[in-house]
Amino acid sequence: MEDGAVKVNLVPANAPVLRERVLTFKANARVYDLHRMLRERLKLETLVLIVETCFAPTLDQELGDLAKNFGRNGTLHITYGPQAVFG
Amino acid sequence: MASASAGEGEAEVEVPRVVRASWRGGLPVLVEGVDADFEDAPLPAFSFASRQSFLPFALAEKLAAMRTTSVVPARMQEVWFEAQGVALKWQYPLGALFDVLYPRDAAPLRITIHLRGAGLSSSEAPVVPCPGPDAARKEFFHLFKQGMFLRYNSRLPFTELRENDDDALWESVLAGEVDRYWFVLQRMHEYVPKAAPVRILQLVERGNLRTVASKQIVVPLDSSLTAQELVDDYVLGLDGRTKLRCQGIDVPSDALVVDLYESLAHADMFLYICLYTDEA
Repeated sequence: MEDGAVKVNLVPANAPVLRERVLTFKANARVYDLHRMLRERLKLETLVLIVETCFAPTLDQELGDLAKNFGRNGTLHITYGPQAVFG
Repeated sequence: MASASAGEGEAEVEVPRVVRASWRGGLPVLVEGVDADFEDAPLPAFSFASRQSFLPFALAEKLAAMRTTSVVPARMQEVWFEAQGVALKWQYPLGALFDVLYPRDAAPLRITIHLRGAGLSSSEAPVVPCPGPDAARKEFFHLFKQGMFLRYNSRLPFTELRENDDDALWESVLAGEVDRYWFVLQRMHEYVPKAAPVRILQLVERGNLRTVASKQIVVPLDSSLTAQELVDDYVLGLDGRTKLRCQGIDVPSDALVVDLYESLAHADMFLYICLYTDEA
């Protein structure tokens, strides 16, 4: 549907801090891709992602859509952790 | 405008007639199971579900019966749903799934239940396993919060919900009780809506894989965008045969998105515009 890139700022919540907190994804990448990448990097069995400390997106949502709807200053802010610490 | 009581001890709420009519909608569902996955399962079976409901709950009774008769190890007993070769995302309201999969009203909605581990799994079309009822309910509220955030451009309205409101909200959605749902939503009325959250659903085919693709868009309330213009802006490769459907109703090409939202939005605060190709 759209091309472009999305900046994602990853904020840990009771989880290890990533070396690079801001990552760039294709706009059509899905939450599923981010979720899988983080689980592999952090070696976590369960992982919860929360957008704007408010809600957990579904795995099939495009990061580009989320950035357009919820991004601030061109960046989508996502909190990650092993359990639902928000919402 | 119809007037109705939300329940015992609750004030009366005014539910617009068209909203009430859309909530009254229901769907016949035919549930089937994969023979290799289930033994002695009481299937196929018919069910009837609200358009506002979600698969894990619309089929809860059937699922409970199947789990007890399955010979598959417990760790494999998480199920997922399929219809017409499409792995279904149960997070979408049943009515929206029906509209995108069965545009010609070919009722009933035929759902095949699979056990996890024996199916598709890729980043293109991740199988969405159905968690237990508690997790599914939690997921609904995340969708609801997302919709509300977009509708009001703030997360504050959600904080207006009182202790028992989430139970009332959830039960009203499952049962298709618009009065209870509307009553809870009244708490947000001091906030001014800013936009109409919309999801466009489309059945797409890539090779042998069929999946329901979605696009999420926010339309400002002062917009005069029609549903057709919105779809033309965001979905590529459409031709003149593509039709739009919301809550089982074919959408006129000049219908404004914000008007459709007021009447036909789903309980998760999103308007689902489902695309289909008119073969006639």
